[in-house]
Amino acid sequence: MTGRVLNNRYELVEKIGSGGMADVYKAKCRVLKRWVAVKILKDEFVNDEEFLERFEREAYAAASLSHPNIVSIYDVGHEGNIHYIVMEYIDGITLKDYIRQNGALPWQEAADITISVLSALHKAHRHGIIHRDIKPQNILMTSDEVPKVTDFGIARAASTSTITRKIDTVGSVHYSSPEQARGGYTDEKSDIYSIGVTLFEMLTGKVPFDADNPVTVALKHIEEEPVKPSTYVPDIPEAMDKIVLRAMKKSKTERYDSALQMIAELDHLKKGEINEMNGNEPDQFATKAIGSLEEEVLAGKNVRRKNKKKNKEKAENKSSKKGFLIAFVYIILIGVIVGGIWLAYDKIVRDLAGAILAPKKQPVEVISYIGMPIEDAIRDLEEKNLPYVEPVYEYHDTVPEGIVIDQKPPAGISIMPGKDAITKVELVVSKGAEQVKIPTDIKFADYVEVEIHLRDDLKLKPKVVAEYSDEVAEGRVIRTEPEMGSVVAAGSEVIVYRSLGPDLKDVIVPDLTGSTMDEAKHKLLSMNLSIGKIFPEDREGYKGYIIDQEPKAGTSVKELTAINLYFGDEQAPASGDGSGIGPESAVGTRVTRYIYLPSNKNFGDTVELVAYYTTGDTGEEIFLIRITLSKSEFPFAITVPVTPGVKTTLFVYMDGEFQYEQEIFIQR
Amino acid sequence: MKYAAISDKGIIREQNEDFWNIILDMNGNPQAFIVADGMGGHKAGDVASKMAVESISKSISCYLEKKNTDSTDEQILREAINKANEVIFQYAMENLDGSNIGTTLTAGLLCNGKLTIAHIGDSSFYLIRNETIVKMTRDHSFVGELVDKGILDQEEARVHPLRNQITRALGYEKEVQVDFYSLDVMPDDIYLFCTDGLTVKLSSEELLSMLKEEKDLNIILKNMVELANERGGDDNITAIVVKI
Repeated sequence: MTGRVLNNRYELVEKIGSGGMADVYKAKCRVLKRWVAVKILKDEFVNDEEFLERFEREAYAAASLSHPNIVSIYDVGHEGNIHYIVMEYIDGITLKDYIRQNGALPWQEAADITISVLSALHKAHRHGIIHRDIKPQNILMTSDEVPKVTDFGIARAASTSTITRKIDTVGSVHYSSPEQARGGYTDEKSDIYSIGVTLFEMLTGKVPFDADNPVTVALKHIEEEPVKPSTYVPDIPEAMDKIVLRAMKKSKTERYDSALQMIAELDHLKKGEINEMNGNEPDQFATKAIGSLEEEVLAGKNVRRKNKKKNKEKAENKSSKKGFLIAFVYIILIGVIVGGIWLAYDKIVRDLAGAILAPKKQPVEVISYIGMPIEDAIRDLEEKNLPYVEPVYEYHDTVPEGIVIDQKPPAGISIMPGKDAITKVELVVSKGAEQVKIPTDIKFADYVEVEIHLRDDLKLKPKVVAEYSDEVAEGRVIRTEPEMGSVVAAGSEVIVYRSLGPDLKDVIVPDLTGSTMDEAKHKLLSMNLSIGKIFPEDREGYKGYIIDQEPKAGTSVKELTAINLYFGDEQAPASGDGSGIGPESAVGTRVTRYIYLPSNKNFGDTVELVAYYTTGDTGEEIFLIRITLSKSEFPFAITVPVTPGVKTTLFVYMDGEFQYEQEIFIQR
Repeated sequence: MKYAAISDKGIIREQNEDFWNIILDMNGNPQAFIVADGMGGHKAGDVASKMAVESISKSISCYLEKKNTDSTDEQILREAINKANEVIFQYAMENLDGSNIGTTLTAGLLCNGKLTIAHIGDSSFYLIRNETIVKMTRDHSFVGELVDKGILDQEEARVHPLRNQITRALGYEKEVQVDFYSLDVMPDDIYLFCTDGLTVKLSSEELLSMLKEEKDLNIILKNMVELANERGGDDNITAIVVKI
């Protein structure tokens, strides 16, 4: 895949990751000249229409989320069978690797990361999007150590596919809530549980429930109480233990009500600590209106990064209250300076924008264009300055030409206006119904082949009607309606008349018993009946005469029906098996037979084995296998298809020479 | 002894990833029955099940020909399965860029009046005796194991989002753990080997009544597949039925 360019835009440079569902590539966007990450769905999913639809829907939903702690989705698309999502490229590692490299994190840092992830979750939850697969593997740490959550909603799309059959021995089960393990209803609080587990792992370097198989892990999530994180790392404050355990409550009602509520407690804990350090009353910061908190968290993000480094130092040298105080003052100072610069910058940009540039761009909601004439749709897009690609025209059986039949993104999604915006509106427009010509050379052709040709190649709906014909043999095509050579719309019905052969009259089967064979044959042929199978039987007194017949005398049959005859003959075998079982009445089976090297002949080191088989009475040899084997590979097992009730004969050749035949017969 | 087999790709899937075989001795008497349900995506979905059935059939046939009498039936099956596991695992390493493929396996070896079952994954073996049906194999699946532990009931398991996730598969890892069951063959016993395409759609009671109502085994199997397809047909369906 590396080196490939998707839709003439994304140049895949290097594979940077692989998951159960997709491979991730670092890619260069040729249009915007920047690095992006392209997530390409694995081959096994591309035939699952329902899955693809869900996958795209979730990706679009996630694309509507814009947040500093969420990996941005720029584009969703496909080129042929390659389905992909284009995302912000993060130069960093997963939180899982970050923990692996650093071991247990200082609790202050763990709290910071958790707050960032929670604020991302809060944003998503407010938009009605549940992540469902929060785990350190889905949280990326940028090189500036900013956590960013990825793969929103995709877990749900994946878990319902019937293709991922084998459960991973490690992975999501470690972080999934009791209700997810039970297959119950999941909501925002399931994400809260998973972030609780993630926080536990950051604090201690281990997951709370571990075992060598996923079922045991799931069971523990359902049944066992987690230990306090401070059991492993004594420095962890009691309040932190409480936060983790509350997020991880078995019952949803006992967990935090929202991501925001959990942020508030973590924030409280951190500030309480800071106040304690300063000798102030912790209560002063504790009571805060939750509504303003999210904005505060976001605004404080830049400060938080600096803060974190200080926290690390502090963890190393806890007693240095003085040092910390100085640091704290610095933080405030930096905050003020950064804020000041930002205000100034913002003002300059706004002034500039007012003077030179168009007004600041706002996302515009895409309306539904489906059912609209394409000219009207284009006019609307132009008016709103929304970017769009050249519409795609497709045949459609019912929608008239020029009407939009599909669109991406779906109605209700907001995208950025302007020609250079990433997400462009894609419209599929009806070309009307496809026109095809009924072939002229299908008279006398086998009706099954014609039916398949019309249906699969010409996209018509053939309907087979049988009728008698003296001219056309049975099973062959007589005519079509509309007639051959007509031009019709794809998808329309074509009646194919299949011949039943000549219209045969009913005749009464004559009594043949007691006749000689010649008399019987003559009688049958004169009545336009056929001679069927002849079964010789050794019965005293009947030599040379017909003993019995099938169907019996007096039966009404169509002309040309075959009449089987039982004929008195001395050399007849004990009893035949020719009961006329047709292969169509049996379900095919296969048997394994074992080929050995005849010991009475000299072969070289290798032997070319060829096998054929015949089935029933047709005598047609069907090729089975040609293989060169070394002597040690004998005895060699081969599998022969057989029909129960029908004799199959296997013919074995070695080095081009016939060796032996073997009969295979299976009772029905 | 009568037997019949059927394999149907269902009405949704594009290919049949199930595989099966009945191994006969020189006299045409069945000696072993195998069903396998492969996984590994659209390129390699049928690779593991086909390789498993072929490799195990070959091992068992060779054994039956040589009659090394010092091995027990369980040992014969175990050796055949270990070999198949190695062959599939190796194949995936060399040809599929290490991406995992695997298959379920339920196989029965009929020897000296005894039937020995080897089982991996969520295909099934049912014993029908004295008008009752017993599913002898335990599913190696996420939900199956939670049912065994009493956490989920059958209905919850049937609708669980992870219902098709198996916890063991042949050829998926370097080594595979196999469950064995054995039973003495009794007159009028009926044995049913099938993949989950059948058991997800039909309850054991339904299977039992279908086996009781009709004599012709081929018709029974056709009816079972038809019913499974009427109920969605979203998976491949394979079954072997044996009547002693």
